[in-house]
Amino acid sequence: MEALDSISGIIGYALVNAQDGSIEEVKGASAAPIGELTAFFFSAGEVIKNSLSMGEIDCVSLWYGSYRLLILPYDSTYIGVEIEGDKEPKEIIEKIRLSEKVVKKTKIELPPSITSKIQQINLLVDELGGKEERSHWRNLLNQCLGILGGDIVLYVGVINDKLAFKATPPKDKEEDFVQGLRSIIDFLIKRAVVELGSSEARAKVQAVIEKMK
Amino acid sequence: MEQDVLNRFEKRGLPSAFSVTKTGAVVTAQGAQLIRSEIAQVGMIIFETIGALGDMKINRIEMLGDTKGVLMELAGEQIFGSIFNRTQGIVINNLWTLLGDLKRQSAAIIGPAEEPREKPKTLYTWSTLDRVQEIMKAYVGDFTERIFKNQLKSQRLNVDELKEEDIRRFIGALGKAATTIIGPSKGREMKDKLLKLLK
Repeated sequence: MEALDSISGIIGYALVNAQDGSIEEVKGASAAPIGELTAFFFSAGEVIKNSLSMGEIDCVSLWYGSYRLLILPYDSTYIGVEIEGDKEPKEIIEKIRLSEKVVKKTKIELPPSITSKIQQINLLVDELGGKEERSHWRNLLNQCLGILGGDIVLYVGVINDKLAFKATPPKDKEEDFVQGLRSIIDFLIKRAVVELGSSEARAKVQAVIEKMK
Repeated sequence: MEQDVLNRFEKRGLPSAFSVTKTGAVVTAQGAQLIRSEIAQVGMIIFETIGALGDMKINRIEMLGDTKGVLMELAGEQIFGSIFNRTQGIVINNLWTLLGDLKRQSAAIIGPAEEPREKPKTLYTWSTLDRVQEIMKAYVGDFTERIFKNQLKSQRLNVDELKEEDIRRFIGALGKAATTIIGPSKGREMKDKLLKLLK
C-alpha cells in the first residue's frame, strides 16, 4: 500500500489482517495507536452490523481529539487512515480506493527554506542510519514528525524511503513549517549525540553539512 | 423525560434516536422501541472496545453499512445515537448536527452520566498550563513550546473550561510525546511531576 504514502491529508495509516485481526503495518506520524483502533473498531463494527442488520460495512469512522480515523475494508485487509477531524473524507476515500492504480501526481512547489530543511533531514537520516540502522532512524523521524511537526504532518510523508511533500504547503504556514522542520533537525542531532556519542555525531553532522554545500 | 427529548428529535429528523449507558440502561425514541436489546448490545460492545484501549478518549463513532448506518456521540459513560436507513437524500452531516444538539440538551436536562451532580469537577485556569510549560522546560527544553502547542491542538483542550479529566488526558499525551524525546524513565518522571499539579 505504498501508494497511501503519497496521498496528502493522510497523517498515518494502519493495515490490519481481516482474518485474524493482526496488525500488519503502521506507517506515518500519527501519535494515536491507530493499529489497535483499526483492529478493535472494525471487529466491533462486524458485530454491530449483524446486530442492526446494516449490510456489509462500507466505512467506520472514529473521532478523537482533532483527528478522525477512517476504517475501510480493502481486499483481505482493513485500512485505518488518520486524517484531520473536520476534513471531508470523500476525496481521500476515493484516492485510497484507487490507490492500486496510479495516483494522479500533482506538481508540488516548495519555497527554498523548506526544500533545504527537507534535504537536510533526509541526509541526516541517511548518514545516521547508514545501511543497518536506517529503519530505526526512519521510525524516530516519523515519531518526532507527529510530536514536533504540527500541521506539517498533513503535507509530508516518507515516500520511497525519503521524507517528501505530498502537496504544496499553504504560504501562510511556511514559517511554522520551517520552525517545525528545524525542531526535527535539532531532535535528530540531539538523539545522535545520545546514541552515538558526541564525536561520532559531530562527524556525521559535519558530513551532512559538506553534502549540503 | 429523556424519552420525550428523543421523540422530539426523531420528529425533527433524527431517525431511531437512542441513548444507552455503560450500565446497559437504554432509552429510545418511538422508532427504535423494537430494537432496544440490539441497542443495549451495541452499547456494551462500544464500551468494552473503548475500555480495552485504556485512556483513549473517543468523541464520536460513525458506522456505515450497505443498508443502514449508525452514529454515536459519546458523553462519558453514556452514548447518544441514531440508526438510519441509507436511502438517497439522507445527509449524514445534518444527522450529526441533530445528534450534537440532542447530546447538549440531554446533558442540560439530566446531567452527563459520568459527572454526578454531588461531586463537581474542579476547574483549572491558564496558570495551571503555565506551570505545565515550566515543568516541561526542565525536561524537554527548547522543544517545550512546539510539543505543548501541538498537543493542545491535537487533544482539543477547551482552555476556557479546563476540567481535571481533560488536563489529565493532556498530561498523558505530553508524557507520551516527551518519552520520544527524552526516553521512557525521564518521560514518566515528567508526567508524574505534572500530575502533581492537579488538586
